[in-house]
Amino acid sequence: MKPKVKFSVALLYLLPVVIFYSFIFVLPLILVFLQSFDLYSLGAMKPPQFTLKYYLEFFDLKGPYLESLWFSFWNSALATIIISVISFFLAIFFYFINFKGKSFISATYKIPLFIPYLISAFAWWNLLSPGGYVQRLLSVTGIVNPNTLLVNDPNGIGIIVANVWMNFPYMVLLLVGTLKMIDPTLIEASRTLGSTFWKSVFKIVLPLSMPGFLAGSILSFIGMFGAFSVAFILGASWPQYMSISIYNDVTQFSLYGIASVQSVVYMISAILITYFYTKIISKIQGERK
Amino acid sequence: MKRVSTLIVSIAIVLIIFFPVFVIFEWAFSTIWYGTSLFPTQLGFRSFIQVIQGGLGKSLILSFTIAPLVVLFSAIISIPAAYIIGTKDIKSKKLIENLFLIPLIVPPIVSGIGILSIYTQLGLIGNYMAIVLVHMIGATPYMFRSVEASFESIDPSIEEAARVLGATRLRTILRIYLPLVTPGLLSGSVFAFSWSLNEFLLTLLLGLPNIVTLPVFLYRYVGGYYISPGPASAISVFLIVPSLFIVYLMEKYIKSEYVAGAGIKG
Amino acid sequence: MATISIQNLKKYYRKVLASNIEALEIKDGEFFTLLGPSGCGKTTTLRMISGLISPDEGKIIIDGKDITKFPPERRNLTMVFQNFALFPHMNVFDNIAFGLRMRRMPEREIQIRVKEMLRMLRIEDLADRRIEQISGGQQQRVGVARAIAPHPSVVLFDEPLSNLDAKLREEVRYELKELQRKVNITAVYVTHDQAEAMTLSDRIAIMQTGIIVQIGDPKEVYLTPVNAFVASFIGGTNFIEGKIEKEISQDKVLFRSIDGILIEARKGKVNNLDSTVLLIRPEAIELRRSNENGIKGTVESKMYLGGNIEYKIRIGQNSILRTFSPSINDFGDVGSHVTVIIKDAAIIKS
Repeated sequence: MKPKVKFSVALLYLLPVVIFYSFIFVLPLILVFLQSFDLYSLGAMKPPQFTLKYYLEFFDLKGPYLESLWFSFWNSALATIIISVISFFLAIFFYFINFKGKSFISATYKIPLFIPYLISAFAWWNLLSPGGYVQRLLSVTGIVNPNTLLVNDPNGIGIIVANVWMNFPYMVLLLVGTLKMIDPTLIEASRTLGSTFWKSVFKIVLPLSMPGFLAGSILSFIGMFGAFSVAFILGASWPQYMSISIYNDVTQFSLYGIASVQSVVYMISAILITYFYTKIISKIQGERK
Repeated sequence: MKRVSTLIVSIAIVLIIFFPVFVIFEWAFSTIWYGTSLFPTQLGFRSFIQVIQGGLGKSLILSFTIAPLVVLFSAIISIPAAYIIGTKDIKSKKLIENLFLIPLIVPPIVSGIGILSIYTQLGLIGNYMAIVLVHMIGATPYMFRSVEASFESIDPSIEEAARVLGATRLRTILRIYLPLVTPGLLSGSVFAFSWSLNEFLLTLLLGLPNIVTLPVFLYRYVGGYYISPGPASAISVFLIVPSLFIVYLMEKYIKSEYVAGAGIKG
Repeated sequence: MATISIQNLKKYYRKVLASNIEALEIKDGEFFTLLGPSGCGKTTTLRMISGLISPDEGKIIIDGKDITKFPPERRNLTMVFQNFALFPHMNVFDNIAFGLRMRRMPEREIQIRVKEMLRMLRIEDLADRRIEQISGGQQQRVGVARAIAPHPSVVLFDEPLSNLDAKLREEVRYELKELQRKVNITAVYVTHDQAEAMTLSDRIAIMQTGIIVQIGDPKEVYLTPVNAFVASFIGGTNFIEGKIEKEISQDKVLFRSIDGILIEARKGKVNNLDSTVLLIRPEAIELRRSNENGIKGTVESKMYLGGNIEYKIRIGQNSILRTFSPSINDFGDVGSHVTVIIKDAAIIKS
């Protein structure tokens, strides 16, 4: 039994972390929040005056910002779904099948984890830009129209491909860990009751690995949602990931007001998505109880 | 049937993983490569020379000195927190654990522009230690979760035994707990180190012109309107080769499935 | 209901034969137990019958059909597991229905059959419960119900009672036997618990290091074990060394112990007369006052067990017999003289 400790005592040990984050994280966020109302200026000194104009500008349905937010969302969500499907089958593959050379393959798939994002993004830019090997392969085989842009394109195809390549090893690792926690006799019982291997996978393994699976995918998704480098290299000038939009507004146009509103909405979206996602997971688990 | 599909999947994995890496090596060692031809026309070291002259050495040093500092400092601030949360029963435990996730959920650009303002006013733009601090934002949650998981798994009666034998809390942490949480520390260090090496946006925003870490150095050749694949690939080779070594070494000696597992709770 | 025939079944585990069954015939509707210590190969053999592992050599034939190459889901047999292996994400009803759903039984018939199973196992009010809400004993019943529901030809049991506490084990043992008889399914049961094997089985096969050492009904195996291993595994033992002096009748011999004591014994499973070991079960020894007729002995040690006293009686320089006697009859302390009457003995292979 772990001894109970009052929060006030615990605070002492949490102080270093709390102080650190207060100054380097919370304070900047507060400033951004204030700037969104023009109560503080991130740029040149200006007298504070409360205004909602930046917010109005953001939520203008004819404006680019909502579209940007939506693009960041669906593009990352699609990548997450693709990653989840691929990772699930790969995890099953690694968990159940043993073969000569397995440790080589097992090491190989983890390589993207150790290659910096910028480089991975660049590598896929190489492969998918016009003249790149993958782009050529896909046009020659007719899978893709030779004129279709795969990078810097309005659908964010390049972004999705690079994101999938960079993130699927993490999901596979996570899933294999989850699979190891499932009692193997459950699968045996299922087979002795007449279910084939794949039926057992979908009726027993999948439901039982869901919680771990979902918990892992949310971090993956949020990471891609808020990321910068991949969209930077592989994104088009329109539509843009919100991170790119904010960056440009600050570094190129000094539009701190609208940049802050975008930031605030961006942040709140990320937190809300995470919150609802975890709520849904608990509900699913709760229903099972 | 199983043999055939195993073979297909294995080949697919090898191809998909190595293809991007292969192309980078191609570009790195090419001196002349026309857009229309499939392969480089001429090979050479020109790209490497170009980036070395461009300041690769300085970037390597910066990246590889900042990262260990990030690891060290995030460990220092994480360990007390991980200790108290992991070994004791506290009412708001879940809440605190979730709070540690927030730096990973909030898009870095959001805090980035706020920090930009603060640092500009304090004259910390391009400051070495200031960058270390910024890297710690994303590195600390990973370090904390790893170390906390280690603390959680330790039998609480060990601390009781130590206290009864006369050790103060500090002594207990240093002499008893630290050795026991080494796995968590190691795995957290790997994540934190990797995070720091990878960190691009904040360093780009806040580190120029002095702090040009490897990703920022690479950006010089891929950012903007003109991409120079040659030098960019040369830089990439410098990072990929040691990474490959680490991956195959790790697979041999460490069960990386458990390393990843430390990142997520159950 | 089905007959099982195993021929030349072999399974290697790192160059050692984990299981080596030359020939085994299990009868239709029989409750057949594989009994032995851990590592004897009983579980390996069971898992080969189930199809969860493949044999390296040999054949398994169920009801005349060679199913050796079939995967588990095509063998129409089910298994009850030691850790129950109930699906935690389904409730009791769905667990029991699983095998039926796999066989595409129409939902209405499934309802009827599952309800029948719930009634038979006396767990009717548990249908909606989640697995983690029910006790170990109840989980065990669900596991059995789930295994029987799909009308398998054979049910395999992998030490199903080992995870239950001792008292529960005894209760469930009896019910299991009744159930098997009522449903009349061939059962192959694996356990290391001899009491379980004795109470449940029609026949027992005792295994050691991968081979079947003896097969027989409980009484036969108990009274006429083939060697010392079987004898000690299945009950208490006293072994006396010596020689067979002569045959008395078709199945009785006269045995002279190493200390020269003459004991009448059954021939047992031994064919030749070279054996040098005699088995005397502790309960086959009666102690009487020293002045009565019989083998003379002295109390070597005495242990008070409550209702009984365990005695070790020395009857010769090299022979000590262990036996129990109700505490009411106290035969005196260490060193006292007693008379020993041997009521039954059997020759075993030496």
